[in-house]
Amino acid sequence: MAQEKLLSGCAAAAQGAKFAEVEVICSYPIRPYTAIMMELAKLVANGELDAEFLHGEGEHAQVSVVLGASAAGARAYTGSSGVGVTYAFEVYSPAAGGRYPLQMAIADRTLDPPGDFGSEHTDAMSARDQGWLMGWAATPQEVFDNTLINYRVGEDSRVMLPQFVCQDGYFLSHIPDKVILPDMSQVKEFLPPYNAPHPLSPLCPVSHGPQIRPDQGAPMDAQRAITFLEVPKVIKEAVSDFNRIFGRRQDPFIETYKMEDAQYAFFIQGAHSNTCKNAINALRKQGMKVGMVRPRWIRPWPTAQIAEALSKVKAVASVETSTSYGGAMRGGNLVHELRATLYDLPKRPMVTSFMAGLGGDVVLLDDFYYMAKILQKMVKENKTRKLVYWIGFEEEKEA
Amino acid sequence: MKANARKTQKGKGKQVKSAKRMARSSKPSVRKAIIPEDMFGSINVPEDRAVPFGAITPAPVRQQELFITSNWRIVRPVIDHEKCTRCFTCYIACPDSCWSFNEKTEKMEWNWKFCKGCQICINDCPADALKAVPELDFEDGVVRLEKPF
Repeated sequence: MAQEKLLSGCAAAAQGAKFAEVEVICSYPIRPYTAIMMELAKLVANGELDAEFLHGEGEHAQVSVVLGASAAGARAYTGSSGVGVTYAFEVYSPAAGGRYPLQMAIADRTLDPPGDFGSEHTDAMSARDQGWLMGWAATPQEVFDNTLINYRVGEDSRVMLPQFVCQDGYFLSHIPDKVILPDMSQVKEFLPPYNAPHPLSPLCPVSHGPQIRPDQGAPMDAQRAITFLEVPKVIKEAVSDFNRIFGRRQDPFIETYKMEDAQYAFFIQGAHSNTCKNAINALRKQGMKVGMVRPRWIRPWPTAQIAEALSKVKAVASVETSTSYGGAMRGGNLVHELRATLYDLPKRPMVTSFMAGLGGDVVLLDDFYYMAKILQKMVKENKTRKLVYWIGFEEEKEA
Repeated sequence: MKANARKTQKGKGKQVKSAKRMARSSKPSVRKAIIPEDMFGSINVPEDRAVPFGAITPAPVRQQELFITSNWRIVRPVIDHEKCTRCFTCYIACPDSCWSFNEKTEKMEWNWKFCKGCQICINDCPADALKAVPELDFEDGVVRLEKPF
């Protein structure tokens, strides 16, 4: 029977892995993600989950272990945060190139220096171009759902790619919310057992990860690129099945909030979108027609869906929760892709970006009101005066 | 800026148009996609450059013919069979297992397909039977290849 529980993002991720019946888990401690492994260790010790639980000697080892497990045909699970995510970096491209559909949970943590532990998306965002599926959840329920959906999409024979299932550290990973845990029979209907096409086995020996020549590198890149053209189709099918089996009404690619008549929009990912929705409710009471678009995937980037959703607004605020020092907009990462996405619109909206939620900062309601005022001013003056605003550090207090 | 300029010129017409578009948006099935799915085109790898899925290949085999990796060699070890004592030091030392013993001829054999020219065997040979010869000195030297295999 399905049941409702109060779970933090980390506990929800662990439950997701449990319902996916992962077979190999590799842990190494770093907060905040580590609570996922604490929960999973308990589940394995209590006999609720039948899985090999290994301790890696570091994050590089963690991903290497699950890569090997996945190559042998196991459904494998690992995770990390912050500098742990970057320490494992070398293994990301081989995991995607070798087509191992393992899953890595990331609860964001600010990268050093020195020693900040608050939430910021830069850790995972720096790994976005390694050929993994990637997306941020906004609620513990979505963390649970994404764990299952990602395994389903990643293990699809048309995809066969690893997945980063990301959540904001603390804001999501450590704040409990209601999570509906489904019936196991529903999960079994949604997620078939993992069937590795060429598993490492003495019965049918194969070589994985050989040395290839430089002229074979481009075709290997093309393999992944071709796959990424197919992924949206698979996501659509998976989420449609998910909605049918679990009785949900999720959009496969983006979440939109009050966009029907919106003239202004926030573009934001992750758990700060919850504050954003409250801000929108307050702004709408004051008569400002504002909405929100939240991508559920960063890779593959939902280009068509984002363009469609923002095609009618006058101005968009890209709320950055990661850094791209010296980038085209001198701010965050999202705005680059957002502006590129909107470039071909017949009437493209004005776009500016706001650096917020960095280093563990909370994005306050007041911050969203400030952004809204900037948008209003931009439209009124018909001019994008600045490409990036650092929330809290702007001289221009009142827009 | 162009789009904005147009907007100020005929703002009224635009409003009517957007109202029409709004009406149409209630029927998503008839609306044309703003960014069509085929905007990304397709990628076609020609057959002669195709690589197996994930570069996964059958094993065990003595050598992977698909992944010949000696094309960056600039020198190769040349053996003097008179000096060679068949001590197998080269066989043990080679990181790419390029030395083997031919039992029929009773001579050491060198595998040109995977030797990178690292010269470890030359350094380790106790009988001084190996020497490094530039690839350019051979007509079939890998440095002379126009295309890597």
